[in-house]
Amino acid sequence: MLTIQNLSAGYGELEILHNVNVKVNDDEIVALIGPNGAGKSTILKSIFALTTITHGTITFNAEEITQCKTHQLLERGISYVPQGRINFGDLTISENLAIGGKDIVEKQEYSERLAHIFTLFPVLKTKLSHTAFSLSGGEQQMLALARALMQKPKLLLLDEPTLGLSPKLQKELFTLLQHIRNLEHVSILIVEQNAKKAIESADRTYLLENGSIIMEGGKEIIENPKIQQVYLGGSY
Amino acid sequence: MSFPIAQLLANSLIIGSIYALVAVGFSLIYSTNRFVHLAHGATVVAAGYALYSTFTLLHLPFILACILTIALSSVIGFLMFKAIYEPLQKRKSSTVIMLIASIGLLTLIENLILLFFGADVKTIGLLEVRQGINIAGAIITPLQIVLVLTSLTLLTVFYLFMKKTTLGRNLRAVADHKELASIMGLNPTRLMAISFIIGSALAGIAGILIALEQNLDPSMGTDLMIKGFSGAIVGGIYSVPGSILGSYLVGTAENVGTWFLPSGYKNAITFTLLFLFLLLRPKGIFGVDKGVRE
Ligand SMILES: Nc1ncnc2c1ncn2[C@@H]1O[C@H](COP(=O)(O)OP(=O)(O)OP(=O)(O)O)[C@@H](O)[C@H]1O
Ligand SMILES: [Mg+2]
Repeated sequence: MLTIQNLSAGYGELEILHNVNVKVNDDEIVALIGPNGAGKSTILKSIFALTTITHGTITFNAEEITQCKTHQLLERGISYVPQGRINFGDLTISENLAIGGKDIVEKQEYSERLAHIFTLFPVLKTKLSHTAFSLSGGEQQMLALARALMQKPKLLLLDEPTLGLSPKLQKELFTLLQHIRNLEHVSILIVEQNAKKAIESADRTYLLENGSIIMEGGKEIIENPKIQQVYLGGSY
Repeated sequence: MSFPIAQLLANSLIIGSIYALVAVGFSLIYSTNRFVHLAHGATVVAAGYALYSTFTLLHLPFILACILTIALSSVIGFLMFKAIYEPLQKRKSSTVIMLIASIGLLTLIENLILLFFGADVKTIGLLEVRQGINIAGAIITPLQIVLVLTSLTLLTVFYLFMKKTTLGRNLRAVADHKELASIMGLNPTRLMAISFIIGSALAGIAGILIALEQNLDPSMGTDLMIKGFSGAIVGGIYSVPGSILGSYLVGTAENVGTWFLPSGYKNAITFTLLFLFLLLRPKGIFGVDKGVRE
């Protein structure tokens, strides 16, 4: 579905990613792990044309999308939840969701989509007129995810959605993502800080260091000595 | 003479109504663009002179003259954005550069008006000065009543527009988080241009009202900008009701203050109020603590 091929990209003169290759298949959850500053976010940003791409291509369903405009990416079914401030804090929950669903023209279809989203995130339904910044950290992540899902994506790019959540909520979020994947047939490319959780929950994982992919594999890479030592040994 | 409280309040309401129109347009532009568009004041004066040209000089019907004036104001605002601000933003100019550019534009437009119309004051002369009406001890002319009602109606419509319409919501989204708005498929640059068009139309209406109420002179834009800017800061620049309330406060401070002090202190009073707020409550009356912004 998504193929990133020999991608070199960065910010202006500064190259961060060197010859990166990443693939996401249909209905697959793929995790990107690696230390702070490795370039995980930069990979997602590159898909959304927010970096300077110096080399390589990005294709989506056999169509090249390198440097596509945002609305073209959305039309093709790619949605992105960035890292950091992920909601319109001054807008209400309902307005945040409406921005996600702004391209749904039919009223009927819109309310059906909204009703469906509320079955996945029931907490949002009870706080429709609250401003987004009044939500808790977990609810904020839910809202951002819900807003992206309103766009009916085929591929969802999530940058550290578990950031700041308690271990219990992190676990719930991963379960929810798997549920959404099965239900919506959406592929998910997720950046995750917790290497163990990521490897366990994702179908495949890429390990990024200093802008290069240094390891790739399924759940079995949890046994890999390097992963064991560096990422699960407490130093990370 | 005893302290004429009713008259002072009436005068504050009248001038505050004009300041509020200047302030909400200014706030709208500020919140979506994040720079101080001081040339907004020049749009107000340009509108005053546009009304003078179309109505007083060309004898066009009043309504038509108003429509042309408002349209021209929007065009001026849009052109300032497209020709000056947008290219500067594309080059990632600092807020200081943007501020200097806006002062440059303010000076340029005021001087162009001076060049074309001269320094002597102009009067629109829509109505003969009529006998004022006595309302609770305050003398108010019918024109002033119309002015206040027009302003309050427009401010309400603008508030509802921002709260209830899709375009208003999208403008607030860009004001809140431009990068996210872009990621969600909104077009920030287009919405920033739209905020100039709408904000400048409001400036145009303020210009019409002030031209009907006072004599026009080319340098009044700076003065109005100071008042509108102060009103927006005092009330809370991201809040429509805040900017409105702040403007009425500025109008009141200036009217009550000049009852005790010579009228030459008018601007000093406004600045005192502005500094007090900048020092003690920089987010303004309606500012919120939790709405985190970088
Ligand atoms: N806008 C930018 N301009 C210049 N350099 C940047 C920019 N954004 C990120 N960088 C640099 O790119 C490198 C990779 O950043 P990136 O955000 O992709 O890392 P990350 O793997 O997502 O880290 P984290 O786990 O902290 O989120 C870092 O060295 C960072 O300083
Ligand atoms: Mg990151």
